[in-house]
Amino acid sequence: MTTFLQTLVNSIGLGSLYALTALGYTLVYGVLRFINFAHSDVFTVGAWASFTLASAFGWAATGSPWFAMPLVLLLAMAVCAALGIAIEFLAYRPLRKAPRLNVLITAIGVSLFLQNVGQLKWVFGTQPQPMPPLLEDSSLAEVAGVQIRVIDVVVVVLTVFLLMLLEFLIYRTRLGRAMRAVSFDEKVASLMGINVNRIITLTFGIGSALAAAGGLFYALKYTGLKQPADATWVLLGLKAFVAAVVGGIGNVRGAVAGALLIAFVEMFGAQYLSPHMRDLYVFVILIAVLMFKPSGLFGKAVVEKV
Amino acid sequence: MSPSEKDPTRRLAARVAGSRPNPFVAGLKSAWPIVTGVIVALVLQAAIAPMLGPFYAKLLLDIGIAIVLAVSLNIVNGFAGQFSIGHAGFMMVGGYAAALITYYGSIKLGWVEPGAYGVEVHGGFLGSGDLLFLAACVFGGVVAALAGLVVGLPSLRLRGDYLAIVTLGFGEIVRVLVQQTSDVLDPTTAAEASMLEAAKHIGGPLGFTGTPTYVSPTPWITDAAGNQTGHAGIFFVFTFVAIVLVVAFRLKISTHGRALLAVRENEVAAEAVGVNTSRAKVVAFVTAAFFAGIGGALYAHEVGVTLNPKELGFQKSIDLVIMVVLAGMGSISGVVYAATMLTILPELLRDSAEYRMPIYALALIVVMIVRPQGLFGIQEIWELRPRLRFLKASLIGAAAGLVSWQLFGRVRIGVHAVDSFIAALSAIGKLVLLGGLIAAALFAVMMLGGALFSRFQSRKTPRAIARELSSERAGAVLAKADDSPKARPSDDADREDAP
Amino acid sequence: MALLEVSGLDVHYGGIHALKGVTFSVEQGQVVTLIGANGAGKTTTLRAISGLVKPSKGSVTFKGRTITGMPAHQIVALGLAHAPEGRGIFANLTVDENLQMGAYLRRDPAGVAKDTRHALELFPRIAERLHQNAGTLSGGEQQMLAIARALVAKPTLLLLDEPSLGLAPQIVQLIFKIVRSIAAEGTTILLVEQNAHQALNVAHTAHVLEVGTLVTSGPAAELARDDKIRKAYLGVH
Ligand SMILES: Nc1ncnc2c1ncn2[C@@H]1O[C@H](COP(=O)(O)OP(=O)(O)OP(=O)(O)O)[C@@H](O)[C@H]1O
Ligand SMILES: [Mg+2]
Repeated sequence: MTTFLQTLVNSIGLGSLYALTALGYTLVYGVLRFINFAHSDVFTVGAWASFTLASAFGWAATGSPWFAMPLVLLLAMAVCAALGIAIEFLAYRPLRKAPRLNVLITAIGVSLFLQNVGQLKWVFGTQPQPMPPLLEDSSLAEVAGVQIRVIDVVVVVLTVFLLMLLEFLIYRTRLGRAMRAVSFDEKVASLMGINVNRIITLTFGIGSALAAAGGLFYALKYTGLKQPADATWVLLGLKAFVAAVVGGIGNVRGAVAGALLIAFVEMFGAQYLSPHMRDLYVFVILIAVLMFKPSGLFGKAVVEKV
Repeated sequence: MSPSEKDPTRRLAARVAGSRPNPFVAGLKSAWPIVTGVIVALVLQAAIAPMLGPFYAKLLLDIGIAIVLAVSLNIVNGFAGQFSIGHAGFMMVGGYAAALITYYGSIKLGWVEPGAYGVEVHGGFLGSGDLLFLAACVFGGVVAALAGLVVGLPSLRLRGDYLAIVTLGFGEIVRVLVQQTSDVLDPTTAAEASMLEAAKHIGGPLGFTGTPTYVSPTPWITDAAGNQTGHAGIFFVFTFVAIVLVVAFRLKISTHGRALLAVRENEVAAEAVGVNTSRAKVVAFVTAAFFAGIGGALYAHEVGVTLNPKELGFQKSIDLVIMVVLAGMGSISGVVYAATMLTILPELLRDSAEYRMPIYALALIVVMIVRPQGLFGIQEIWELRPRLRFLKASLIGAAAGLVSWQLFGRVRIGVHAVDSFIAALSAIGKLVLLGGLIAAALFAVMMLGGALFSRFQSRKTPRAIARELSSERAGAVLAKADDSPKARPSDDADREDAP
Repeated sequence: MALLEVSGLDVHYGGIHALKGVTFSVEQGQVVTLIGANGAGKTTTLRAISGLVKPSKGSVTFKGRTITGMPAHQIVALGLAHAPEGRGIFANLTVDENLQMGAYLRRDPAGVAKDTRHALELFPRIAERLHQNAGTLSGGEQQMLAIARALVAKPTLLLLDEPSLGLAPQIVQLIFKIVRSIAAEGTTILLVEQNAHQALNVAHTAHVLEVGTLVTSGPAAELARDDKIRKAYLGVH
């Protein structure tokens, strides 16, 4: 029972990370109808930028004040938002009218570019780095034998907060309406006076900022940062992406549900079946979902796409 | 005039059937390029490789294997337009299947001394060891083709990016499964174990160690005592290169190939004109997987390679995709060109290796934006019009690289960050210079070679086919008009079967 | 100076030459109709005006400003609304949200409230369905929503593309009644219609398009009497 509860808690923590990243895939798919393969690299940059910032403030050596984590979070989100917007502007905008395959390949090119520029010595380098602990890593409480760590609580609380913010933005604001309108029909949206390009830019910015949050949380949770082109990052991104597809890509709430589902499957599979096959469960689920319900589990049922 | 002759569709069908070569003659016709290929492979092995020395001979091997893999990917990505980003998965399936045969097979056949570490190559040129190796390659291809069938089936339901995800998922699943296997059995234990048991011991995350290196660059020489040293790796690799090229060319100009291209251009329209799109796609997947499996088998037995699930992951698939996409999806010579370039460059430019991938990535993005169909599009290099533009472009690029290399090689500001950036520009400049020169040289060679080759080839380029199709259509129209007394066929080609 | 001036407009869709030197103008306060057979280029004309397609030649001026080649959202900001062919409502938004999209650029909440109220008075059926997803509306209701949405934008010039398409005769009557009342309130309207009879009835001026070229123009009442027009477009023999 304790093992079960502990696994559950861990899955929720992992699911939060996936959700933050999955949302970026889903938001971009919503407005541009293509899979932004470079999104996982924005996540990586988020983690590495957090590290660079934290080190630059000298918190690696001295320990960190209370505002360290929120500050790094905001800065990392800003950096990644800018990066996402730049990518959209330079690489994807010239291809607005091109076939989707071209955009997909370009996205792969951008992904490769970010990875490999990231590992240049004057960017992040090729050495793994330890993330400065911006949060005290202690057990907050023990409920029924289950360890609840500070970091997990903070991550989950912040994730829920960000998701609610996004939900509010999309369903309750003028900007959110415009995003949904663009997602449904760009031309008619422009007839409403919406500057479609600006909405797309903003969408990239929002998605990338969320990925940055995911990156920071990941770095805080699993303190060793692998080098930017390491396969770990690719795999993490792929799983978040699988979460978005399983939840029905283009569907915001579906992405969150998909992320939790993937995290549960991965964690429980690792716990009760075999710890070595965790990646396998995720991809088997992906293929099963695509075969039987290509629009994703929540493709139509829950809410409309964004 | 009999009723069947009156029906223009039937007449057209009869004419097309009449012009179709009989399979035996066609078989002979397709044999000669392979024979030529085998001869070229022999020459490369026996005459060229010894001159090159081990480093360049190994490079030649790498190029050959890259060509097999990239050309096979071109069949599914380029011809059929089914975007697959899990090609390394097929390579891995084929490689492991083949290694299983050569490693455990050699032990079972009693070629390995008890207590030996690993398995050595066995027998002389085309001796029993080589035959086992060739059989293993084909086996690897077949197993991979079966995997291709499994992956091809979802492609019937999924399109575009979703299919890409499935192929990616497939590649990852294969990788994880291989990582779960146990260490390779040592020859003594293996001799006792069943083949089924052996299949569970293919190295796991550490890789399949101890495979015999049938694909080695060392020239094969018979010494005075009649013993052979080295092996005929280059010969085998380039024989497979010849086979995959011939298959790809014949596929491209065949009805199947046209069906694939039709699927790529517009699936609905292809379906509407009677192409069995499902079959076309599955055929593409299976053929591509078969040759990827063979490529994997060659790779598995190459010197200096440990078959390893990490090496054959997503990154490897992407490398292959880059070769196909940069060159132009559908252009076989273009893909050969890209595979060659992208194998040579990193080897020659090890000192600026860190800039290699950023530049590839940038090149990929720029090509997609500026030339969405890839450098050569669907055309073969010798079909390009205007011919020399590409040559000129590479030379101009090389000149720009030279300037950047020399210029930024001399400037220093004194601020470390800026200087390392300037140094990077210089290194990139050098890379571009060398790249441009090699690109131009290779292009010139391929253009000349291709022009020669196509002179002897049955002239069925896509251009010719397009002409043929339009004249067939004209023929059908004329044939229809022909039934009315007013119109007479005027086309020479049609006059012969006019009543 | 007319409110809208279209001169020498050419539009190409790839190889298709859809408009050839179309020239006409729309005076402030008028209702102008474009009639023509299927594929004549009526929709294309409206698209070229609102910036959805870029003309290859010619110019469009609106309120004295050249708007040729401007992106659609900027043209809309100048006070033009375009209710496109096939309604173009956002099926993934609620009816309410669709109406709010119409007022996307407006910064005067009080004015928006007034115009929304007015639009809902014109279309009581829409008012009953505000919280429904717009995709679940019937075809006629969607058409009403599209017009209501355009009204909420409070445009100076309203482009209507076949507002009566696919509607029951009763609803068609209603739609034309509403078009008339909108016009009476001072909104200038450029109306594209297959239903030439009704269109000529509400319009002051009419233009006839044939395969991309304007062939006839004149006061609507005169055209309605013209024999050729009657034969071709009014189905009178
Ligand atoms: N996106 C497009 N691509 C290619 N051709 C187009 C496109 N849109 C319209 N056309 C062509 O341009 C011509 C004019 O089309 P348009 O839609 O303006 O006609 P219309 O007068 O509105 O007809 P209808 O009364 O049927 O709506 C037609 O021949 C049509 O086929
Ligand atoms: Mg129309």
